[in-house]
Amino acid sequence: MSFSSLVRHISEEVFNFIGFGKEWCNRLKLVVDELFMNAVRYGSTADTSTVHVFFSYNDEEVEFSVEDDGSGTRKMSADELKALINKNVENNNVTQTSGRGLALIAKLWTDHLDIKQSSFGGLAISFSKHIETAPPPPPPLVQTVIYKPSKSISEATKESKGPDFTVKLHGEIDQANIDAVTLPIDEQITALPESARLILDFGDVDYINSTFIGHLASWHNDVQKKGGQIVLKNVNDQIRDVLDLVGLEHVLTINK
Amino acid sequence: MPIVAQIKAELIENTYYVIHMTGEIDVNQLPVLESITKPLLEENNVKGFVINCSELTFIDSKIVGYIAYLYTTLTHSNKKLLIAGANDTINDILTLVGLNAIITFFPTVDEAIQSFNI
Repeated sequence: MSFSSLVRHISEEVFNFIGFGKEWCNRLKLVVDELFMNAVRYGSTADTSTVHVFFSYNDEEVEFSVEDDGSGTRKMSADELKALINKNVENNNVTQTSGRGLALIAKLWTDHLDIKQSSFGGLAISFSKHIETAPPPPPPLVQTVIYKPSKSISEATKESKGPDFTVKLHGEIDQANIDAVTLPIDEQITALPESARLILDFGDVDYINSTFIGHLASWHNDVQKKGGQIVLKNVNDQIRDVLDLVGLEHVLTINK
Repeated sequence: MPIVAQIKAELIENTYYVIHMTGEIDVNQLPVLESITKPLLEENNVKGFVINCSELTFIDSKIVGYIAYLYTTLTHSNKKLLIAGANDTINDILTLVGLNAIITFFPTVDEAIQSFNI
């Protein structure tokens, strides 16, 4: 059995024993796996390093942390990685080494994600999660949607023969406003002519939750069936990270 | 005890590849998955892939990303990628990230293959 497999099984046992529902066990197991593998691959050296994994819990919550000795290829400090995850740092080179996409997922699925310097020399990444016995709620996210026909970026897509329609999104798209954001877009897609392009402008969007990502994928299918295309425009690095993490960066057309 | 990770490609009717993924497939198995599947993407006679998940117990984000890559690459060549036999855990991971909205899921490999002929 590989170490990653072992850690997954231990974490599943722990989360199950503490009282998490099956769905949450699976989610948290994935988070643990991602954080652990990040420490193994980027924060330590094969055969010589020790990666430390800790679980603790009480009646209300569980805490997990993984610490490495920093001997790997990761070149970021705890503060830098933290700042990056908190959307304050832009650095195109860190995606391969920091696992920031994974940390973002951990952030989405846990209550509190913390990164600090480890006494072992590398980073200590930890999360806590309130004990959840019920299945996870639907994903989090947005505010207002303004729809207006637009021809402003039609030159960008030569393969599109139909008209362009633009939807401008604003703010944080979470569970509180997901319906308000998605329903108008659903209606727009239903009414969309054949071969048209639907341009979603993310210029003012700070955050999207996983429910919205599911909608994006679904809309992509719907529009493709009509011979059209969905284009995401003005997507910031954080949202691009999330789309990349789930593989949608290669599926959707994304213009900076 | 977890099932040993295993990846196999099977050519059916000279037209479809079934990719059998067994056990826990994570980033450690990604190079194997790539080396098996990438050459198959070039085969012109192939109409599509079915990923058989009936014996699959875990995938991580790297594998999810690679499945999305396969979907994109195949779709661009007018081929299909289908998923068959995913259990609740695999379904949950794929659903959480929205892949269930773009890739068609079937209960069994046979049903997935039949869908190619409809």
